[in-house]
Amino acid sequence: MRFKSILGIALIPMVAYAANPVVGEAPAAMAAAPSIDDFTALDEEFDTALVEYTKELKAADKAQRRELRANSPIKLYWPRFEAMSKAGEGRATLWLVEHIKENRDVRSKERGAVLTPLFKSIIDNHADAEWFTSAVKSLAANKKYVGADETVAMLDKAAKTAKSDNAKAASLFFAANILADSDPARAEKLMAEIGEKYSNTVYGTAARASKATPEDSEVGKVAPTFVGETIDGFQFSIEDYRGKVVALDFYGFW
Amino acid sequence: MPHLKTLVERHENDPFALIGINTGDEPDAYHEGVKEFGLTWLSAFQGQAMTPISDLYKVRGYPTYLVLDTDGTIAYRGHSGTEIDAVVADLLAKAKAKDK
Repeated sequence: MRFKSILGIALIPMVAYAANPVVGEAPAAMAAAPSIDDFTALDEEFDTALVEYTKELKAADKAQRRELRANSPIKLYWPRFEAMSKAGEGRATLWLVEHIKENRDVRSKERGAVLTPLFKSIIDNHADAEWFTSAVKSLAANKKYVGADETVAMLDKAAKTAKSDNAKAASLFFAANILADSDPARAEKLMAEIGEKYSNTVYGTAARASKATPEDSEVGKVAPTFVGETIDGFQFSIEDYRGKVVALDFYGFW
Repeated sequence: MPHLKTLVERHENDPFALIGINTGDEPDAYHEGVKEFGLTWLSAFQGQAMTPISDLYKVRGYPTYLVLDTDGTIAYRGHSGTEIDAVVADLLAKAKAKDK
């Protein structure tokens, strides 16, 4: 996600896709592999439909609402994203896992069975994609449906296959979080690994935070180093600001 | 926030940076806030699920301000937006004197 705000969102998936040809898919699927713009176009179409739908839903009465919901954008677009995902477009697979909660056709009991192969496919085929950290985050957030053991197993694999330090660190970090109660020794080991190898990521900061004391950041001490991430995914390190006077403002708009 | 904006503008040409660390906002509320208050400086967005920087600095109340000297030493920690003005000006003056 680094520098996404500078390069623009359209460029990144293109690079990710080119560097990540569909491997191990059936030849028919290869032939039908969607072009680079297809996903972006479909995603934009869905977003537009969703805005329109939300507007209509607000204005509708009770009976109309029922009818609208029966043809919601998520229902209409789900099969299209699904087809694209099957053809090897990883971002469509990510879309499915990120939208499954809104799809009323998939009952919460069935979610795990739907999600598990989707996450497996992403980890096996798209670990070098720019958006892979988002998939890791989504996997961790769906632990309840996928199951803790299965989630940890997949995160383990993701940590190995991931290309970026950020995605590797994220995988270890979420695995450590899940293991905190059931296997604290292993959780601590994973946290230590993040702190040592991936201190240049936000997860390195998070791993160090779990050991921090109030005395570490009082007046007179050297400020603990950290990596921050903007809402656009741009990462920066406080160490880049040595030589400047820096004011840190911890705030919220709430 | 208007106060911080003034601070940033005053030190536009000095070796100074204000870095915001947002905690607890939803993305939509964050975008609205940035627009409403005209935030122009770098700001980390931590969201609600994970707050690593706040945790690292053991931040308990909001807003909390820290001022760091050019070598990273913490010179101020507190909750007053007006107090940091003098601290920043003082550190910048010292840094300038050292350069000469």
